[in-house]
Amino acid sequence: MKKNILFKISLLNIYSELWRIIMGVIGIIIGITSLVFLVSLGYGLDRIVTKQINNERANKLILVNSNNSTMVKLTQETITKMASIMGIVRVNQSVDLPGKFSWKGSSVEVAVRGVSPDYFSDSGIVLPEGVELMEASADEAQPVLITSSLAQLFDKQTPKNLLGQEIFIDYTLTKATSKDLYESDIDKRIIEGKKFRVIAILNQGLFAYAYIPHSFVLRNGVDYDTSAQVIISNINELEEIRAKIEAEGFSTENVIDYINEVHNFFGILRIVLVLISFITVIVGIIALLNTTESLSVGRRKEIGWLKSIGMSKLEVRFLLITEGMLISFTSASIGIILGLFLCTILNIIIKIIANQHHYSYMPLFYTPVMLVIMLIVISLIFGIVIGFYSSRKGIKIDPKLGVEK
Amino acid sequence: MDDFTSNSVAEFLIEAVGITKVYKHFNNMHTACSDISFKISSDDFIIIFGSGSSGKTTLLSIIYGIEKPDIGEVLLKGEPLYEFSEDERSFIRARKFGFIPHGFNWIDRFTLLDNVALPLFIIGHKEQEARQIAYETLRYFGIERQYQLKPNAVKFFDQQLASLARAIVNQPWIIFADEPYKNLDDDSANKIFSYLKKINEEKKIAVVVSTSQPELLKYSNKWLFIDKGRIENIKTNKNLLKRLKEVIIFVEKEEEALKKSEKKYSI
Repeated sequence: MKKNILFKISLLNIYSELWRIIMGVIGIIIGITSLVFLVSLGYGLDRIVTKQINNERANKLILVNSNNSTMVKLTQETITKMASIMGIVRVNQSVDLPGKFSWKGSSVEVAVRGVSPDYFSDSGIVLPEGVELMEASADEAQPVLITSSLAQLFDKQTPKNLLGQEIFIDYTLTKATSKDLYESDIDKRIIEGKKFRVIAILNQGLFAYAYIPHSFVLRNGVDYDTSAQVIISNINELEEIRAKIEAEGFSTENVIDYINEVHNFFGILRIVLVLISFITVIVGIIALLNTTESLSVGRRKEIGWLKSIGMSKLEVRFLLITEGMLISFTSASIGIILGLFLCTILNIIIKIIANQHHYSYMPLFYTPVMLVIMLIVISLIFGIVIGFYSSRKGIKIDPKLGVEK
Repeated sequence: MDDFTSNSVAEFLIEAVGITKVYKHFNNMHTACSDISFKISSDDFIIIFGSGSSGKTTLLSIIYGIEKPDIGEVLLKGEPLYEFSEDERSFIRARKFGFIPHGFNWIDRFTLLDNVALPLFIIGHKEQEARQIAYETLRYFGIERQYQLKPNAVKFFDQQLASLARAIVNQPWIIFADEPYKNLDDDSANKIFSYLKKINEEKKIAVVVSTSQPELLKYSNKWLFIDKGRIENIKTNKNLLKRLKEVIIFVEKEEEALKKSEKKYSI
């Protein structure tokens, strides 16, 4: 029997039982739909997070710290040596100090961070136009940039009131930041009553930070930095430069480390999501097996007749396997289309909402083409297995059954 | 297998030699056929007479190649049919045998034309070629206008003719028919049997029919009478008709008794 005719007969058989088949395979359709939906969500989240942290500026930034090592310190000397490494554009110094922020008789505990002028642009923090964190002359109030959450601690309603105000900052030196303390028995020393003027409020809502010029803290007790930002010129030299810095005893971090962690996290999340939807798919496959088998059992007389007038066992098997493959392929295709449709609709809704609120938009659902191809291939393989399973009984049907009264 | 692809017709197509078939149902043994021997040649129109459970269908299934006898052999042009594998016998049936079942066995999803073309599809004819031959065969019986209809939408008598068309579409050596026209009135049955006789004579296709209808005796050139799985030694047509009437009346009485017992049971 010509294969194209067998294929057409299979198609006709499926078409004639279409509703019964759809009712039987609804489980696998739901399973595939949820699989496409959840895996697309996993990929979409991965892409969003990766895009947030992965950009050319972040890729070219190496965060260096001494991990409180007693052997190596981020001194002016070591930083100058680091800056001389081939491929490094500049090194931004940064020192974190516990401190107190006072205004109009009120004070709060705050993290004081002394940073180089380029720290902000290299960290991706956008400063208001014309604002620069440069040390003022000794008789003037020094500039300070504060985060909005710090400003809200003083004036919850109108935090902008702090802008341009003179405030006082005390900060504490420790063995980690002061050479004198490191070499003595004294644990800490407070630098009190330094006058600052708020030149900008940064829209960073999470932490109470006060950024002051690094050069100022250098002149006022700080000898060791807590970290440094190393900016490189070529991303391809990243690993080589990191190795050179680490050879000096420092530890380094780059956004790629986080990206790998993000990928690992979302990889695990995807596996969990696939496993969840796989349970539905398994239930669907059992229903599919039942459907294809009941189709062949329901056609015992017909298959018996076909065998009695000369159809071979191989042709009966081909017929039933083709039916299994077509049913499985169609179910998977419907599931994929429904899944893609659902993802697209939700992406459109999210885009509309994002546009209305002037947020930047990235699709929450992303379906890789490979996933679709993989699902189709798997569905065809399952179809063969299912068809083979249902054909076991089909080929055993006695041709006598087809000619019996 | 090459032997059976040839259309050359030998004098004897099939020889049944000492066929015996016993069915075991729980601890009861039922002999469906017992030591049955006969020959079929290309110009034969053989009717196997017998009552409802005489063993006609089993005998037909054995000669058709779908039920292996317990004892005895079926020789197809001298070669033992059951020494071929199941698929080889399928190959032979598809090319050299035609079958008219008791019901029509239509595949109701197919058109009448495709149902008739089905044996040709199985042989491996191309789709259009098979449909063309099937159409010509329907035309031979004058029912070609209904080729696009679903079989069940066709008149009962025309379905009988289409069933006959399907049996001859592959130009077989032999047509087997198992009580094919039991539900037809005498006039329609005679018309169908006239067609079968015409095919037998014109196309030299042997016909083997099982039936319990004595009025069809006139179409046959050979007949057998089977009762309880054995061929009865009846010499004349007159004695055959007498015996058939006995069997039919006996069966009718049996059926009546069964109905009464069911009634009693239901009360």
